[in-house]
Amino acid sequence: MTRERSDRDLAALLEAWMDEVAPTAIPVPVLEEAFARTMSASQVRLYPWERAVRRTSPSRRIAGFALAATAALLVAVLAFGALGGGLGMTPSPSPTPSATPVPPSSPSPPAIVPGPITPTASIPADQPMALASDGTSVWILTATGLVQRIDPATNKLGAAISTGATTDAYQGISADRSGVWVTESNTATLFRVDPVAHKVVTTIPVGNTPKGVLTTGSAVWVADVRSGTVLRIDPATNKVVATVTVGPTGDSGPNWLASGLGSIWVGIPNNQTVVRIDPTTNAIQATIPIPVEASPCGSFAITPAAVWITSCGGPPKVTHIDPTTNAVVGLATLDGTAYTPAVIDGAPWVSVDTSPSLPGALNRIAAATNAVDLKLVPGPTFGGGGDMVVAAGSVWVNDGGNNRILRLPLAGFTPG
Amino acid sequence: MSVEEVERAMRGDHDAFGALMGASANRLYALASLILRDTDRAQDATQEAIVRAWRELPRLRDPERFEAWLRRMVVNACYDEGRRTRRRAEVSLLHLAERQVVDPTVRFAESERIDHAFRRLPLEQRTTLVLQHQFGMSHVEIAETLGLPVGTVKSRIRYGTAAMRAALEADDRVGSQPAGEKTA
Repeated sequence: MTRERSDRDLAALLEAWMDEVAPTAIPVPVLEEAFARTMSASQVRLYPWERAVRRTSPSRRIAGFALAATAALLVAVLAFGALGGGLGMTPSPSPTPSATPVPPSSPSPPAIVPGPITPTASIPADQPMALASDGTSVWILTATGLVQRIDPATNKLGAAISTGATTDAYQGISADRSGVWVTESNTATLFRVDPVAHKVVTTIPVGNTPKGVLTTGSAVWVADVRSGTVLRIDPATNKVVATVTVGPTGDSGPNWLASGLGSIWVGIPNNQTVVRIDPTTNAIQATIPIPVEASPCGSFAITPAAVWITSCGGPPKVTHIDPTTNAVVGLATLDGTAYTPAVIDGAPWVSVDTSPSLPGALNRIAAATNAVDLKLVPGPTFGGGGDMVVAAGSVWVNDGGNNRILRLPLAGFTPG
Repeated sequence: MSVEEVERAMRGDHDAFGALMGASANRLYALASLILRDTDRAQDATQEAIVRAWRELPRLRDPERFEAWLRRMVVNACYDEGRRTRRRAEVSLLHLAERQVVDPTVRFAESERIDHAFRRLPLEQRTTLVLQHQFGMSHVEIAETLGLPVGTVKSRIRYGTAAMRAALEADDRVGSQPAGEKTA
C-alpha cells in the first residue's frame, strides 16, 4: 500500500515537473527552417506494389492488387518487347528503379573539393565522447563515464577507469602531468585520475553543474554552468581556491574552457559572451559579446593571432576573436556541426558532421577570409563532429558514430 | 488535423503538410525537449523528424495514425541525436523562471533535483515516462507509438520509475550529509 502511494506520489511529481519544464512552443525560426528544408526535399516515391499493401480496407486492397497486377503485366510486356517479340512495341530506355528515394539535386557544387587523408591507425572504442591529450598520450572519455588511455606507441586502448556511470553528455576531460581530470554534472563532481596508479584518486565536490574542465599545470579550472562561475582548484590541495563570477546564474551558463595567450577563456551561452580571465589574478580581463547567430557553447582553438570558438546550435559557425582588441572580427560558416577544434600548423581545424550525408570532413579555416579553405576526408564512412587533438606527432579524431578514434599523420594536413 | 489533410500531404501537398506541422510542432518539440533535456538537441531532433516525416509520408500506411507515426519519428530522431557524440550546451530552461511560484529558491532546487535524476535514465526509459506522464498515454498506446511489445513498455516504465525513486532518495541522503572531499 505504501509502495502504491509512493508510486502515485512519484507520478504526480513527474507530471508536475514535466508540465513545468516542457516548452510550450517551438521557436518560430526552428519551425521555419525545418519547413524550408522540406521544400527542397523530395518525398519517397512509391511504386504500385508498395501502394498495394499500404491500404487496409478490402476494397482499396483489391484496387491495390489490381494496380500491382497491372504494373506486373506492364513489366512483362516491356520485357517481352525487349527480347524482340510480343506486340511490336519498341521499349525505350528507362532508369533502373531504385528502392531508395532519389535525392534532391544539389543547387550548386561545393566550393571546395575534399581531398583524402589516410589514417595511420583506427582504434576501436565504445561510445567515445571526448578526447584530451597530456602532450604524449591521448585520453578518451566515453558516454558511460569511462576514462581510457591510448598508447601512441602501440595504438592500443588501455584498461578502462570508471568514474561512475552517467547517461548524459555534459562531462569534460582534461589531462596534463597533474593527472586526468573529469567533470560529472549529475553529481557535481570533479574526478582526478592518476594515470600511473590507473585509478580515480580523488573525488572533489565542485559547484552545482560542473561541465568544462581545463588543467594548466598550476591550476585546474571548472566551468560551473548554472552558478555562472568558473572555479579554480589547486591541484596540490584538491581544494577550490577561487570562484570567478563570469555570468548570470541559471541554465546555459559557462560551458567550455581553454588556455592561451596568457588567459583562460570560457564561453557563456546565456549571456552570449566569451569571458577572458587572467590566471595570475583570477580577474576578468574582458567580456566579449558574441554575435547572436553563433551561440558560444562550443570549444576553443587558440592560435598566436586568433581565438576561435565553435557554436552548437542553429547553422554551424566558428567565431573569430581578435585577442589584441577582444572583439569579434569574423564568423566562419560550416556545412555541419563541429566541436573541439585543433590548431595545426597555426590554423584551426574542425571535424565537421555533415549527416545525414556521409562522409564528414576535417575543415581548415583561413583567418584571412574567415572561410573554410581546405577539407580532408579520412575515409568514406567518416562521421565527423567529434573532438580533435594533437599528440605524439599525430592528429587524433573522435569518430564516435563509428565507435573509433582515428590517428592521422600531421604531414597530411599540409598538402602540397 | 483531418485525414484529408494527411492524405493531401502524402500526395506531396506542401501547404497541407505545413498545416499539419503547425498543429503538431509544439507538442513534438515538447516531447523532444523532455526526452533529451537539451534545447539545442531538441531543436535539431524536431527539425530532423519534420524533414523525415515529409520524405517518408507517402509510406504512412494509415492516415488516421498520423500523429502516432509522427511521434515515433520524433522519438527515433531523439535516439539518433542521443547517439551522437558531440557535446552540446547545457539545457536551457529559461522559461522556468517565469513560472516560479511561492518560494522560487525551493521550487528551483526541487526542479533541479528531479531534472538530475531524470537525466540519469537511459533515453528509452525517459521516452516511456514522458509519453506516460506528459502525454497521458496508456501502456498499449505507448507500445503502438514506439512499435514495442506492451511488456517491454511496462518494464521500461517500471525500471525508469524505480531508478527515479532511487536517484531522488540518493539525492536526499547526499543532501543530508555535510559536503567534503572524498579521497580514494
